[in-house]
Amino acid sequence: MIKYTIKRLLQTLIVLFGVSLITFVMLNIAPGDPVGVMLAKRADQETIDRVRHEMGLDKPYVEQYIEFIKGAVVGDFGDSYFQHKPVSEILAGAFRITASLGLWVILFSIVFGILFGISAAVLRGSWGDKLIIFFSTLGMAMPSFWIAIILQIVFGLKLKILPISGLYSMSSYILPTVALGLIYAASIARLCRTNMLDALNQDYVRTARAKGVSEFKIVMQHGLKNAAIPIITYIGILIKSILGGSVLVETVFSIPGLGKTMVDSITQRDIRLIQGCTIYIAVVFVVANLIIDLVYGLLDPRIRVGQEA
Amino acid sequence: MGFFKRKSDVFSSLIEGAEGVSYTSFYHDAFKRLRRDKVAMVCLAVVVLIVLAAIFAPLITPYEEDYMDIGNELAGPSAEHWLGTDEFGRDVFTRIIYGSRVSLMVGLVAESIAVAIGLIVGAVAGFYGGKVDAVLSRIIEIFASFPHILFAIVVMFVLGTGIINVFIAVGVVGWTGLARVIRSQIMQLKQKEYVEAARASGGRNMQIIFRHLIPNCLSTIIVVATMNIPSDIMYEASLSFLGLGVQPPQASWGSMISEARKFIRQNPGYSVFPGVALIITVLAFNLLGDALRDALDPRLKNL
Amino acid sequence: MKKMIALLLACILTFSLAGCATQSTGNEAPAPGASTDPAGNEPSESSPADDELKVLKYANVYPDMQVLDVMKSTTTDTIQAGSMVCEALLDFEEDFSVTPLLLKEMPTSEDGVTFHCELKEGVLFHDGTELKATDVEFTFKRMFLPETACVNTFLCDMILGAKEMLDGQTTELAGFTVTGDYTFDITLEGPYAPFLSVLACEQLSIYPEKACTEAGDRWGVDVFVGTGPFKLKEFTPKDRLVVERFEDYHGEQPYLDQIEMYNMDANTMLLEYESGNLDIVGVQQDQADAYRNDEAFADQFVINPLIGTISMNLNVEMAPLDNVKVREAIGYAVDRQSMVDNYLKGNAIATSCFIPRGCMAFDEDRPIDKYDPEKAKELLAEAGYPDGIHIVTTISEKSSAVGVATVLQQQMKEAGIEFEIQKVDDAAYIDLRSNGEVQVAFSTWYADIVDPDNFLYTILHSESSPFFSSNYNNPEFDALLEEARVVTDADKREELYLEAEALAVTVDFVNVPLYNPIKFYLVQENVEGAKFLNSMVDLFYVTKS
Repeated sequence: MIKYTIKRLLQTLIVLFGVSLITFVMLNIAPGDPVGVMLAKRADQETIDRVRHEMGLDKPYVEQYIEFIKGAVVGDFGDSYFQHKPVSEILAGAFRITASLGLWVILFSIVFGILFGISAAVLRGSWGDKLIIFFSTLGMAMPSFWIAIILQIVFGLKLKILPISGLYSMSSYILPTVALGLIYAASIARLCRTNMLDALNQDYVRTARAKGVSEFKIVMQHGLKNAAIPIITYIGILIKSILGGSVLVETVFSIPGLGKTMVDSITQRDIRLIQGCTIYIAVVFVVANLIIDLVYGLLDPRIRVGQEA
Repeated sequence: MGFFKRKSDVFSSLIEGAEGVSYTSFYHDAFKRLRRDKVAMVCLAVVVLIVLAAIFAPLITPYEEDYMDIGNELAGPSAEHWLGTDEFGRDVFTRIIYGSRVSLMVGLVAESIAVAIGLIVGAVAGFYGGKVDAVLSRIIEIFASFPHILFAIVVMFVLGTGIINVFIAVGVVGWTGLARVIRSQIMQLKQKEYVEAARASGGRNMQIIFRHLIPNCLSTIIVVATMNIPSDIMYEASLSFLGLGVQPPQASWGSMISEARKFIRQNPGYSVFPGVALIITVLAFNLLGDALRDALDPRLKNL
Repeated sequence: MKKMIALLLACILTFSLAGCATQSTGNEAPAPGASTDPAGNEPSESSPADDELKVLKYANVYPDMQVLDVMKSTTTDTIQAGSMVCEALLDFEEDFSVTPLLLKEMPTSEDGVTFHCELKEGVLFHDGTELKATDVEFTFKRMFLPETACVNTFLCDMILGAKEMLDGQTTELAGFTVTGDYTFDITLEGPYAPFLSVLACEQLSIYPEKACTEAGDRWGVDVFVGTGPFKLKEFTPKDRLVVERFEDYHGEQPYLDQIEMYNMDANTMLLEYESGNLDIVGVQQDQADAYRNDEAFADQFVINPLIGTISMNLNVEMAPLDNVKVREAIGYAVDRQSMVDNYLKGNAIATSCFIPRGCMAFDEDRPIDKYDPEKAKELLAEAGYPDGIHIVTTISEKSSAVGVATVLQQQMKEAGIEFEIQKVDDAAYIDLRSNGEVQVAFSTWYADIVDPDNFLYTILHSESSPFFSSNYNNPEFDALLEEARVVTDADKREELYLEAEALAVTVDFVNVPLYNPIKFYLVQENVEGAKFLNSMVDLFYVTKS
């Protein structure tokens, strides 16, 4: 497995290189450059050329890219063209915000997802089950930015019980957490239910039941066990998408997280910050994938890690 | 990034591949199972209704898509404007109906693009294995871990703005999940006897892929594609929400929700109705996808 | 057994995640900010001392509030943020006249070329050092040194020797002479009538030499020192700026202890305001109506007409707009009054002049062009387009003019003009526009300095017109502007500008003026003394009851 891990890490490097190269090429195809945005209001060609020169944007593309790679290898992405401070510092700040919110979202989704999933499985076929299915299906169909707007109006403006925006106090985490977490909680609930029911219909469970093992024990022991792998896989996915930040929800709640940082950097063509963001996202993605795969290997020996043909 | 993760990304690695079932009665049976599913039939009806509404939009709607009832901006629901008007005095009901065209087309066109790319890349990677697979797998990973919005902006520039290019932007980023599922299925399938037989009888590789392997993945493709449609619709809505989707005066649900936020005090319905339309459509596709999966390929249950 | 391990692992994973969630959120949750929060729902979080602080909370849409150094950005957002800490030599009054701020009195000049200035004595920077003429010299030099990459040099590159410095030929500014500890002279290349207004621009705020040099790269990022009544306390780019009272301020002491300025989503901040969590907020034009006509908010609603014009630049190099008749036709194909009355709900003032209301050389006598699609069709036919034309506007998705364009699209239809709207992202738009590649470019221009020069020369002079995609090049027009720059007699200048504007707008039809925008704010009833000056806000002497 160690050999496999090393191999995967090497592949990761290739992916990161590919991502950075594509980003770089794309940024040079796409119209607009940071200096244009900076001088949006007015500038003569001389000012544009001068500022471009000072920022090293008039160098040949290849040279710019090599410079970037040299820095990136040691974790230095340079200074943001607009915030005039190191990209790593900006990313670290945004990451702290996104991660602190993300942990709540993960907690929320897992707790409510599993709770409702188990309830639905235990109550299978009853009205309670149907209600849970209905709401979880609904939860998966609602766009998070729309939920966010509705939550703000209901709980912030009308009922005045929760803060509307920002992340300055504990209570202000509640609305963004719900807006972001609803869809994940709903997915986990459905996953949990489906997989538990699957297990509960197996012969060995019927045997256990016939032997008089209590229903609660059966559900917990056989059902939850069967649901564990898919849920853990799903949590992996969840972590990946949460750590990428969600620009829409962050915009609605005025949270300066990673999603907004990324989208803003793109619309401004803050090339260094964009490179930093894409590399960060790729790293999160690849590492999360690797961890998921390794966890599988531990959880289910049938899945042989490293079985790539 | 941060938008919507395709469900097929989720469990692709779990799926151990479909069996090479190719009985003619398979689809017949599946269809029978589907017909017995009440929820599925209701959803199908809803989808058909939405499709009809989109096709016959000019016949159902009381106004033209861009007609502005000047002096009657941001009005609430009334006999003249069933769901009220927007900030230009345009009929919200009319625009929701027209907006369904965008959402459905995104589902159809973008998903077709995604399926085409995903299928080819996945099949080639799975069939040839080895170095080809290693290279293609890296490409899949690169695309999967790439920020979608940057892609969208570049596509819009290279191809110009416009609705078709929104479809392309959505389709081009959405194929990686399917590619992975297909890859692992093909890997399993190619070891089956009939593939060996085809190979032994001198079948060319491409022939084997297209004649024998891909048809056996058909049910997976149908299920995955149906289940991806809601995320495509949501992705278009997000792009429009960021102002990068359809061009005025065209209506799309995402752009309507985004615009309507500003006028939530004057006309709350303007925000709510497009959202409800979006939810109903996504819900219908979600449930239909579930039912199709149950009927066609229950082993994909974790999608 | 294996399954048991699986279950165990799953549980551990679940609970460790849960555990670190609570823990890290407990410690890090308030990370982005200090004890104060805009929602104000958490009294336990703030120390008792904070509650007694007189704090003003102001929010607006300031996405470009990314750095404090006003030399680094042309946007109002940065300039507004910088002006919370730093001061320029002169100051604008509410009628846009200028008064001394860091100077003892107004600069004197015999020839309109050399200006003698004398600083107030005893003005302290926030770090305790005293303002000297050398600091002013340092600031001006810093602006023109290429490595600063200052983007606002266009405002003041008429200072003698500025262009040579920008070109890197010298590191000395020929037009700036220090004549004593507190006195200095500024010499221009030639007479430039609005120069004193330039000195009052926030973009020319004075920096302390010592602190600025020591801070290096961190200047404007986390170090920023000026002479203003408030000093920097905390700055999170794109999120918020907190300033606190500077006890040794050289002028009147403010009432407030602290001002917090937020960049927020337009809708979110209105919700916050309605919940009473913000004291002053900016209101977007399209949302103004909801508050203006609501009795509960009528008293809190502030109307602030801007010195600016929303207009369309027609690209004279792109067919069919190269035909003057076609350009004239477009003027008849737009219904300004209907747009202002209906879409903008009266929250703007229709205009047919490019020079805005409230600025010299605004032609009050010019009637607002009538909407006359038939006339437009006739003109198009005369120009050789009897079947109408197809023109394209490229527009930034961020621009407030997207809605305006949508209305125009519908209006132009009547005149046989198909007006296609291409929404692109901001950077792409700026790139296309500044290369002169946009057929119809919306110009949303607010005055930096209230002078016709800032409109006509900046946007339509052949030197700068490609940058705004009109590509207008009329030597007669250019000559009028160049003459007006050096004339010092106000009446004569006004005459020249009137003539020049009429030439561009009513003869060459290169610009289609639409309306003068208005800015709106909501100010809580217990808050008084906020000054709204064009697109800037002055909050220093606000009082709260």
